Amino acid sequence: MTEFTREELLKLAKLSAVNLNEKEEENLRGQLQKTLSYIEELESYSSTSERSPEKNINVSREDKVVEKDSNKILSQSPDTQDTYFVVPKILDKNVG
Amino acid sequence: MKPFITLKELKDLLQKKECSAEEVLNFYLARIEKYNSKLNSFLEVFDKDELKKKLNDKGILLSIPGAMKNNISIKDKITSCGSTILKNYKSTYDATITKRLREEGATFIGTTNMDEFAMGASGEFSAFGPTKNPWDLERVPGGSSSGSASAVAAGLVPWAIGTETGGSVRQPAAFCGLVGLYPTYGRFSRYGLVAYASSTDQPGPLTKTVYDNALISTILSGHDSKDSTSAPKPRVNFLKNLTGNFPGVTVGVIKDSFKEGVDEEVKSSFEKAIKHIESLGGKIKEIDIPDMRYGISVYFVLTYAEAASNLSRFDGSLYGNRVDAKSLSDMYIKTRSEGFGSEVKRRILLGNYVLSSAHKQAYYERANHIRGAIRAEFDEAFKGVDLLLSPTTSKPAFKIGETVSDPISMYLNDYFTSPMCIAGIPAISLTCGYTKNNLPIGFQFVGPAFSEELLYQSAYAFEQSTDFHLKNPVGYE
Repeated sequence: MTEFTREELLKLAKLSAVNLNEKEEENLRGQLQKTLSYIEELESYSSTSERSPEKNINVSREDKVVEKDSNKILSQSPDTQDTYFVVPKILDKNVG
Repeated sequence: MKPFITLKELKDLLQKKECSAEEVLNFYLARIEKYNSKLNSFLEVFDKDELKKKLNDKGILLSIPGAMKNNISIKDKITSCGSTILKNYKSTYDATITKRLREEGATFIGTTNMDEFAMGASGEFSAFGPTKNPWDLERVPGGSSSGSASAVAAGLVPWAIGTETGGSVRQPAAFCGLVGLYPTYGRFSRYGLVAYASSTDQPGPLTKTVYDNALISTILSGHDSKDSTSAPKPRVNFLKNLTGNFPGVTVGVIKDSFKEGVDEEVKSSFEKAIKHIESLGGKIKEIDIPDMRYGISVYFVLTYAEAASNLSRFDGSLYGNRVDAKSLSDMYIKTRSEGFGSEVKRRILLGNYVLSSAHKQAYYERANHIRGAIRAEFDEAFKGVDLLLSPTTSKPAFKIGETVSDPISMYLNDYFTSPMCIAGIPAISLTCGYTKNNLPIGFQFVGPAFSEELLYQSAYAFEQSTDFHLKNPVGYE
């Protein structure tokens, strides 16, 4: 197994929208490396057994309007205005 | 009331009017007050006056209190999932299983501790501190349904609901001397459960006895149109076959039960359990499920991938905690970095790794393929036997801190439980012995899809002809 580099870890952290502190970086790099070495066994898998036929089917239900208490739902948001969720500006030329 | 009274016994007392629902509630509130500080089983115990107002003599449960793992929605109550990111989040609706229990007269006395987002096998990954095992306070109660298991084991409630993705009900049941069920995938509704890995997540009851477990499962069962993966099956009365007679069936002992790494005391108790089943009339065979050996790897890849996807919704915008920042993307990153613990981050990172275009084929697609093969092997095995048998865990409860930095060692504990979750087939764990240090040892009956009635019948016959279920941890009188 190729070594799991710091660059790879940071790239994954970016994709996962998390920052890692120094301690987390060190611990996670070791743990990820270990887990990846473990699951490498999947590559050696060979079996004569047939794959069981997929039993999953799509389930749909009628597209009906359901009444929900929107105030209650909004009350769980960190920031709201009237019936809107408020988040930081998405487009702002001053911040990245 | 005696400290470890069962649900069945409580129902009898209430029906004969030998005690009132209020007395039962007070009894459990007092026990929680006395013992929870050393166990940390509960994240929240609801207000006494509020609970009293709702007492009634309705339904199957007659207001008998129970506890819910804190990833199951209870309207207007905090559903933190053991995580900082949701520590103040209140559910706006009842989960289907909450609603069903409520309709049958359940009193929800409080919510229980758990590994953050149900990710862990020890209870140590809760943002609100580890849960302790009542049999030995230096040991873990198992996880991720750590609080539900320790609460029932210490007699703080007669029943509790947990959830399982790879062993999170059965493993704590085994570590705490309880009965725990992983149902057929789709048997119980997931609507209102906070998702970890949607393709294997199922709720399941934790109780002291098989009868009590079957009673709760009866209430949980039945199709739910709000969960598209709910099986189109009606509610089942799982008490029906609890005759005490072991069914005349062939039982296949999974060959790996005696593999290297399985604790000697576990092996010896399990061997005695096999002999006992034989004496009850079960025909014993040995069965090999070779692809089960890939179970842990398949479980890692599939559940981490699903977790990475499911947990992307926690970004601070619509609910939960937010850490303010100038830009939207910084807000997401800060919120998630501070809100998630290290184990959750580890699984999200690995999930995104196995799903990334460079690795998807090697890991995710391959794991999905092997999942089908494992399912096919179980199908094949059930052509020759009616039930399968194995220890629930390879070791009894381990010490707090023993495996926390070594995820592989901790999850090898899931060796016997995760294959059933991957295949979506039911299994019930119950006690078959104790170590010389007085720690419970669990084993499991495994059946084909929708064979829970047979599982309950077999487990009940085993339990009623042994006395393992009569033993309780010391110090909770």
